[in-house]
Amino acid sequence: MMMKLLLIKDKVKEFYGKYDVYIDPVIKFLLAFASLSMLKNSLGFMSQLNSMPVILVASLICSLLPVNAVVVFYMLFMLGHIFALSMEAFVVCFLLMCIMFFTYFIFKPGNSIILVLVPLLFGWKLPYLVPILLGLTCSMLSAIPAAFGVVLYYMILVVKNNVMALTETESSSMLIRFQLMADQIVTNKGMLVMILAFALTIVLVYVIRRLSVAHSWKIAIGIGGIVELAAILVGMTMLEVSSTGFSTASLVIGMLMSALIALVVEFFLFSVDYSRTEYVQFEDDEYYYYVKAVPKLTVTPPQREVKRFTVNQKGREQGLQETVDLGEDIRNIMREMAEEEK
Amino acid sequence: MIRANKVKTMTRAAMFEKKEARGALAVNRFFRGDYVIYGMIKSAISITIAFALAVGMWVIYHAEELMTEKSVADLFALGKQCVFMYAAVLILFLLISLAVYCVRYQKAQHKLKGYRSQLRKLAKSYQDEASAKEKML
Repeated sequence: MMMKLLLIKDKVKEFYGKYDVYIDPVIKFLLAFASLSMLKNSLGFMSQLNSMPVILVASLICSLLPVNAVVVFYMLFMLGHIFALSMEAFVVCFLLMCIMFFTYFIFKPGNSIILVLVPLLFGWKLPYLVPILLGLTCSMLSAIPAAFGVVLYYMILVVKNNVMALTETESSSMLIRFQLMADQIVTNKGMLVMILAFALTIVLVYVIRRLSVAHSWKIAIGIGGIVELAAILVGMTMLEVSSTGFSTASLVIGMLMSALIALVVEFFLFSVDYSRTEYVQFEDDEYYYYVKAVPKLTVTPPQREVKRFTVNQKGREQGLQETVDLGEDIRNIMREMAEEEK
Repeated sequence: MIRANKVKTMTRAAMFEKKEARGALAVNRFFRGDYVIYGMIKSAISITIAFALAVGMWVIYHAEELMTEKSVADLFALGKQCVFMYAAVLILFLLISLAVYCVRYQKAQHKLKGYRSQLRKLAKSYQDEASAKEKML
């Protein structure tokens, strides 16, 4: 079983090394398409941004640009939808996004794609996967984009839950709608619990997986999952968060699913370098070099089995030894052949 | 003549340059102190803008209260409080930046070790080539 899995791992690595030029844009396209479609389903206030051709074209552009383009398009689409609903909600979200951008710029932790992945996984009821995966694959600083991803998700949630209040222009003033929006996002206890739980899990998983103990990655996934679950439950109870949209059962199921997916990811990422074909240019005094460096494929060596044949009672009566070592016989034959040749 | 070993070393060095153009190699352009101070200045500017935006948001949120209920003395007291808070946030973020940029510089230097040894290998192969040419002449 393990051998088959290892072979699959090699095949995946081989496949990626060979077709990474096509795989990367396809992944970016799918990611952009999924996240923009999710925005359409959860917000969808601007009819122009809801049309499938617009989403497809935007996803196609994202697939050709660096991965940060997905984040830019996601935020632009989100602001567009919110602007179409309410000016006040747009101002609050825009200001919060600017604050997040400048705070992000202080450390530039990288992995800005997490900003898109977190709301997407929240939509798929698997947000608990994010901190475990980040702890396994990134540094502790990735807690910053993860926290901002949570804020983005709660922005969407708050706008979605307050459509009526934000569109009632007759009964409330602009300032009241601004206050409502700011209140709901900035003092959202559920958001605070999620941010703290995510940060704690990322730090814990990162520290454990770097320990020099056997199976540190698996231990990190297990402990990270349990601590995250406990942190969310304790936090929700302590802060008396009621309308989080997650029941305890869905939380536990989501966490189990996340741990399982994290184990699969661990299998495919741990000690595997997904090196890709590189194109480099350089020169010396005599030549210009245009080099295509293709990663070498290392095929897992087949496991060697030593078969030992034990003779039965009949054979023993015939005077045969208890155990026949075929390897020894072969060596003897080869030795004889060598001597004959001499 | 193209030498396979030289091309291999050059390719490895070029791949590193391509990968780390904005990472370790960009960090290496600075002395340690300069890099950390540059990072801290960037952090100070960013946190100042972010703080100003947050204060702006707070002012809009409390606009009515500030316009009607607060006296000039209250507003001055609020301004003072705001400055103290800004100073505290700035100091906190500068300290975190100091630690983060120090660690980043150290990591970059560690990454550059392998690259430097490749460059030394290249320099040696150039020397060997030159001496071989001289002998031929």
